[in-house]
Amino acid sequence: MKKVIIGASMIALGLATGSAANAHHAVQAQFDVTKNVIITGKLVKVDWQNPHAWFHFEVTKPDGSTETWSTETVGPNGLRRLGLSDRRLFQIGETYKVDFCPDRSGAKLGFTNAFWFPDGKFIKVGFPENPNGELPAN
Amino acid sequence: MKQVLATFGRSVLASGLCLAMASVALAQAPAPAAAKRPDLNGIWLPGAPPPPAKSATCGEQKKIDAFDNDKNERFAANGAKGGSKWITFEQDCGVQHRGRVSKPEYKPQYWELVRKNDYYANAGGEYEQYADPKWKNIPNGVPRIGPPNQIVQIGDQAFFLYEEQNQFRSIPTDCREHDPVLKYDQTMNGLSVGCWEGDTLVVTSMGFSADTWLDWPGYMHSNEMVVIERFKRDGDGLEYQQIIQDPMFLRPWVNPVVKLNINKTPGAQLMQDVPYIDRSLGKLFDPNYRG
Repeated sequence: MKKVIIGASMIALGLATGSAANAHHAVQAQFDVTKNVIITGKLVKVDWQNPHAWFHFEVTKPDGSTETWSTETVGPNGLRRLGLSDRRLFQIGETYKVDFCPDRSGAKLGFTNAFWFPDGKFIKVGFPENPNGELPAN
Repeated sequence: MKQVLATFGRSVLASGLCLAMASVALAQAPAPAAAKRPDLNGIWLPGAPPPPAKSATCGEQKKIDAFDNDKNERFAANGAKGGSKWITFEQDCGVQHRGRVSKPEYKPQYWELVRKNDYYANAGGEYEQYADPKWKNIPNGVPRIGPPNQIVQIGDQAFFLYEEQNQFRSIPTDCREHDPVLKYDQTMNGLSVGCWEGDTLVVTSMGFSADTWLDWPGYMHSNEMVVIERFKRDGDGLEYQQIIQDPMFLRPWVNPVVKLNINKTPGAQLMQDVPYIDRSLGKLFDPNYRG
């Protein structure tokens, strides 16, 4: 796994066109950046699209019912620079933990800060609560 | 036998003709001037990241590794932890961006529209006419697209390749005039022709649609815009400058020179991009939080 990530990072170009090209809003226009939420869910879908990729997770609640949480990330080019464009890393049906900033409207949406992969690997894509990847006690 | 001879004769004649044509082509092909021109071929990256700033900086010079921000005090202002650090993500320096010295200077009759474009760029709904065209997932277009990510130079022809949205531009660099009809065409990237001025390649583009913007603070342009791009090789670097002329402006917008570096990574190649499917217009909690 490590080899795959390093290889991808070296070959990827890291092209950045600069902030002037972006149309977009600050993250805090949609998400509450003062909060970090961590969910554990089964990956059900990935939208590999610009300007931001989306990951959709099915989360089982304590009462056994399920709900879908969708988390936004940086764009596919940014994920490629992190070595995360390898489709083998995101397997539908596998269980992931995600740290994200929740949507300010209360919708089950978030802006991703980090992923914990099924093999335990921790990858930071934003600003997780704990940058070293330790999970909170609860 | 007669037929065989005739066929043989035709073959000889054909070969002779081919040889003759080849020698004519050879005589015409090498343009001595072209051989001496600077080599712009390569994959070009944004300039090296600046040294760590002592005080908070504002997005003017972004680190290439935008994710290694823990060491950047800009992202830890007032002891911000966790997701609070997103507070400076993307264009969180809108005020400074709008206050740049280098920006288009519009004639007074356009000020109100630029202001509305800026104010309602993310609003959508009844204000959709003012939306930033990027929300509609159309290409950036020249000049917002910025410098090419890769340049392929073949004689008097240059090809500019852009990773974002898989854009390309095919540019003759033989100092020709713009086609008298096609220069009134309407595309995002326009019709470009190039000419070498000493060791600087000057690419002039016209024939634009007015559907794109120059930058996110509502900077629109007309379809009479003319964009001049200057490329000058400097060792492993490439100096790139945009000069934008438009009847909407009081004077041409002369952008500062941007320095690019050639990518020396073995095996580096340009990647393909995926489509833009942006659905956020009008759905933001706070559309004026341009940041």
